Amino acid sequence: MTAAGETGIVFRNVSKFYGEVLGVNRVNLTIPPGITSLVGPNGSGKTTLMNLLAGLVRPSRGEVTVLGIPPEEPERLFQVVGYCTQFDSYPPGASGREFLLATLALHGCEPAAAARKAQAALERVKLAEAGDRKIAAYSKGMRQRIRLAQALCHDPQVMILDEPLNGLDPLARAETVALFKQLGSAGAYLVISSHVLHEVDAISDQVIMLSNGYVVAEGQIHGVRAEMREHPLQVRVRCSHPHALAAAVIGHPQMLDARVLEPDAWGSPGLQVTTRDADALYAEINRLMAANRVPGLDIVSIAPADDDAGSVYQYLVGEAGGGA
Amino acid sequence: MTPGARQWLAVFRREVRKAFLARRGWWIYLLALAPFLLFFAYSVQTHIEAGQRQAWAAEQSKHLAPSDFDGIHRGTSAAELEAALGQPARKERFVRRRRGSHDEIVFNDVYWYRYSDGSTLYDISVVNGAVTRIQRRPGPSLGDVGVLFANVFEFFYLRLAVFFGCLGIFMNLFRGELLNKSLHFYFLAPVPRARVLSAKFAAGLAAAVVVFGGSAWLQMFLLGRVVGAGGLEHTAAYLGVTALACVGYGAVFLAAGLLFRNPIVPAVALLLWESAVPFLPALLKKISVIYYLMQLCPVNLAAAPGTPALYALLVSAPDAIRPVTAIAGLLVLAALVLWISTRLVRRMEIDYTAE
Repeated sequence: MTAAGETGIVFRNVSKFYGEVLGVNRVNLTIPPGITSLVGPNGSGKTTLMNLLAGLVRPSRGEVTVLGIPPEEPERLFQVVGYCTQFDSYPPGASGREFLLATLALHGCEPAAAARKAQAALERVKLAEAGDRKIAAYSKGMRQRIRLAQALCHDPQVMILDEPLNGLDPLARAETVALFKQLGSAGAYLVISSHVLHEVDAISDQVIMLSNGYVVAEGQIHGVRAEMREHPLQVRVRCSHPHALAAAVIGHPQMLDARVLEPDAWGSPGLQVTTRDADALYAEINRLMAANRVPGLDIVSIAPADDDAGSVYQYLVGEAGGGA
Repeated sequence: MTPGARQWLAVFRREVRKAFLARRGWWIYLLALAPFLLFFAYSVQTHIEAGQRQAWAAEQSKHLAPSDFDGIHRGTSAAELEAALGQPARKERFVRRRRGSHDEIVFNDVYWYRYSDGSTLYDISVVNGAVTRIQRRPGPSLGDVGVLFANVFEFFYLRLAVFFGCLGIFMNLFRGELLNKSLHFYFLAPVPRARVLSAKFAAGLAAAVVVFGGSAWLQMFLLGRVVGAGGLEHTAAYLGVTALACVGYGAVFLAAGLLFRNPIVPAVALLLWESAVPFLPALLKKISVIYYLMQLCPVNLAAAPGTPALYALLVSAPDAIRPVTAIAGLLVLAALVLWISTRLVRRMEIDYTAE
């Protein structure tokens, strides 16, 4: 990684207005390596934030740098940045491979190196066999993957991915997520936009939550949830004898509520506990089991019910922001 | 080849293909070919007339040369005429009725003797047994078709066909990509935007010069064939003027494509401006493309006798300046407009949702 790379992706007091319309306002962010998801409903400012990163739009106020490079210098910026947009830009009649070769020619690659990189990119997105077919004959998912190949064919350190899982079938989705994780763990910066919040949980190292052009939260999703003290945690316990367990835990000072759940698909009954401190609940359940205070108690699973991106986003912006 | 040159070539190749094969660009070919079609019809007509001249020459009783008609003049009798030229290919009689000097009705016996020497038709009018008029109808000469071409070229081709063709080609370079939501292909690559602009301009110019220069050459070749020559005089000059028109209008419409969403607005404004050049003050004249082009057109139509005043004003060179000055002036104007375009494209934002 370059020395400039140490600075990461930085937004300093960035605002963008489209005439009278707010794009994003007073954004201060430092995005570290790994997978960062931009979360928010349509119109929340995700694409504006990514376009600001790529220099497709310019901030009305403030400053953006990517690994120390301002977006006003595309000849430097796009040596390290790849952007997978939602829009097609294929030359008419081009095959997937020709499209990648044209992209690499724009990067100034020599033909032999371009052919090598195009093949590698096609293999990475599992399009090697279809690489010589016309893009016009590709399915929606294949088009999404060739756009992804275009964004990563020059081995960028930073990838900006606008709704990259749209149109992918479950298998391709899993393969693509694995690819993102591989790139993220190798130290690349992946900035991914999504309005499908359950995807975000599966992918992200950290999230940036946007609503109406404002950043409402940023960081690791569990960390963000832990900071929301005004919303007690919901913990779901699948177990035998849920009524007895509810009676046992409700007396604890950190427990606020306990509600017995219907049996799940596997027939296991359960209990949802509202608590100010999840760790205190886990300790209390351990203590009850060790002391055999609930005879015959068998715990099947125990997991937080509302520290996923969808719940956090709902808490932060209310029903109006719900895109999950 | 340097990486920068490879980038430039990559943009150029892609843009040339798009410029020639644009689905919305078929009308540009039609515009470029319109004068060719006009001249093709003209050449068919002249071919038919040439055939008629040959046929009449074969039908008449004697083979005639132009010098045979030198001895025929007003007052020659019909008998002398027939003795000198033989029986005509066509001899048509009609009676002309006219009012005499004392208001009486006079009937004149009129004959039309029609001869041909193979290249010129002769209509000889014989009234009451004596020649009264000889009308010669030669085939078109190189000079005639040269003037015909100059009229079409200066009034229609430069001012309308090349003008609107360049509008279609060059405004589409950036506006078209915004409408197709594909401009990000270039703006998300490590290519300086000025390089993208220069390659796009060069591609548009190549397409415009091939289409409009090619059509101009075809027109001149066709007219040359009409008069039995390989082409018209001043071919190189006309092709040069066409190429310079593409440079000038191309630069202007490229800039307009960066400034305006609707091409009608700059097109109408520029058309009015270019038409008003003869009436503009000296300094403002120089901020137009047609000002320089008219200096370079090789045929001075305005000087031809019988040219209507307003038409003469439009097709005349506004000032007498040397060709090299006119060429330099046009290139400086185009370079200035392209420099402004470079500044505009560097600040350009892509917001497809606003399109």
